[in-house]
Amino acid sequence: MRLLVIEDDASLGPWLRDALEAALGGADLVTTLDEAQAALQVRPFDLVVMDRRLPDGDAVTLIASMRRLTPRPSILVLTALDDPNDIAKALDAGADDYLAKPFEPVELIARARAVLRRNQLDQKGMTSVANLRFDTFARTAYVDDHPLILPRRELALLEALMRRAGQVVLREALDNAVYGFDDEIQSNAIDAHLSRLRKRLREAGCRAEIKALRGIGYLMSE
Amino acid sequence: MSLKSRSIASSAAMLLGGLISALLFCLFLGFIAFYGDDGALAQYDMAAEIKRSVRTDEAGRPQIAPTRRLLRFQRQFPALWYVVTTPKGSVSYGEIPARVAAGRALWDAPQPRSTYDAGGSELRLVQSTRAGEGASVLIEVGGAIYSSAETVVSLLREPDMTSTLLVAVMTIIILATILVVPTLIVRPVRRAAAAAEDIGARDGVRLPVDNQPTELKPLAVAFNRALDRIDAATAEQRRFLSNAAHELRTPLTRLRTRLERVEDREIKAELVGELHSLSATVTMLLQLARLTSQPMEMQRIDLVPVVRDAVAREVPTALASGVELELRGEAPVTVSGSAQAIGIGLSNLLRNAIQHGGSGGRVVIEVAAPGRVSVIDFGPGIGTAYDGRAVVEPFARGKQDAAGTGLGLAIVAQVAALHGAGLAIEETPGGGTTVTLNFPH
Repeated sequence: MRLLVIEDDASLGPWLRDALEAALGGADLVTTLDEAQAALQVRPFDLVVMDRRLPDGDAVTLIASMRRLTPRPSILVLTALDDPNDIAKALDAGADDYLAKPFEPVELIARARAVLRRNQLDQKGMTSVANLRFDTFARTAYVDDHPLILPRRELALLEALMRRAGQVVLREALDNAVYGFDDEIQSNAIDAHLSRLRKRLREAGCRAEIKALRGIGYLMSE
Repeated sequence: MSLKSRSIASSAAMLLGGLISALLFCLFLGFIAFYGDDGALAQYDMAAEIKRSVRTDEAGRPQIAPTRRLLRFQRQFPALWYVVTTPKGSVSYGEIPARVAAGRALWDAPQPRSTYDAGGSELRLVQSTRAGEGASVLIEVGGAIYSSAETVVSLLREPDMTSTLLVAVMTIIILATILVVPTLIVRPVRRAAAAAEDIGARDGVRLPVDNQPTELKPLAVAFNRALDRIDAATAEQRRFLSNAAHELRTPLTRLRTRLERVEDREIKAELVGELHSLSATVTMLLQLARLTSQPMEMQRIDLVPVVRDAVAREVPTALASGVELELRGEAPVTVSGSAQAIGIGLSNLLRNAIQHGGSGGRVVIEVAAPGRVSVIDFGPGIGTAYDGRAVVEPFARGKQDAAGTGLGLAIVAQVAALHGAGLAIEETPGGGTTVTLNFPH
């Protein structure tokens, strides 16, 4: 695991590097856009944690070029700007997530893990939450490495929830994940599938928890 | 309607209509003054008046009982003569020409005929009779001719075919002017106004100047210049706000990372709490500043997904405080507004409800047609801590409440005001606070 921190603040930069290194693995720190570009050309990174305001420009310009790299690094933007337009600009450019400053150190690590997990799922077809593991290519879920037999729709639900573990997955998103265009959606079908899925996971000894949020959606957490 | 606020277009149309009819009238008068009367008009008037004066006695012989007007004509035209003949006899007045006198008192069958005096340099109509088949009275008349002024007066008194036609044409022209001119004048103005309406809150869009009529060009240019100034001020304000956000949040972030080094858990938790409320204040001040100073783009939006997104954003905070969030409302609820601003307002309402009403264990969010969003908590309620409206004033907060910043409801009130929405704060039946936003439909 290799991380790149792009942050020009003399006190925050080293702290970010040290905190991320302690939690996730080796991290490098650069303080300008030029240095960041140079670093990205030298070696691949799994995760880039970046500030937007750098002495030589807006780091949003860097995101597009990072998206073209293989393997593509996950991008977490730290921003002191909370104008919804600014946030939308970063996400539209291709950032995986953003975190508003000031942030809780725990939150930073959790978000970094979440974007890494999603990226891993996209690139390696694997993701895991607690002792639950999902292989998208084999279409199989494992609890403590024991395969779990799940019907097609529950498998699709599980994948959608694990992809965004730690975040609220809205009901529409689950509907879209489970049903095709031709399927007729019954209003409570998702809830029924989910309660069966939860029961199966519990019985298999899974420690990941799926929380139901009435009228909103579901949240999977460790 | 006062004269000041009357439409320029209809004033112009009235003026134009008036001018055109005055011009036509003058042309008509000029025409009469130039050509005058050839006698036909005067003699028609005489004959008409004579007809009114004719009586017949028991034997059927005609008699003249001159009307006042006929007497006046007789004084006015000393050469006037006339002969009135019926099958039973005749009566005359004035010096009758010899040729007419020769045929006097002879009844001949009614037929159209004209008599011209060809003695002078030009042809002069002496007498013209047009009689129908059932005519019982024949009037021969001569010796009267109108001056120009008299012709006009006569025509005004008894309009003939020509003048009726002229009046009709004038009326049509005036009506057409009144209908057409305003449209001609108003259409480009309307087009410019529609273009201005389309500009809305987006930056950089301007009124087209090149295809404006000359009169509207200065207005369009001035309008665009005003927009330039507003855009510049808005951009400046946006720059200022993002600089302020950066300059305030960077040291807060630095401070937060330094707090990691504090060994004493209790002191650390206390300091982190203080820092959180400080950064919440910064966030809300920036939100309030943005809401009051930045233009918003109003669109038709469905409230349900906007509310659902806002609720989903607050789920982690709610779960951390042990509060369950529940959203009710499925059908689309369409209102006109800015999804961004409504989202910000709702986030603040939800955080308020979680923070102050969280002891109830759950917060219910209801969305219902035509445009209502309610955030219902089951906590201790807002009670008597606030006095009336003051609750939505910036920095107002409950007396026992140290944790709040007093900005949340001010932001909500601002969002409500921007949308013309009603904001109601009530007690939840059974205890707690219900805050309702009512968007105009």
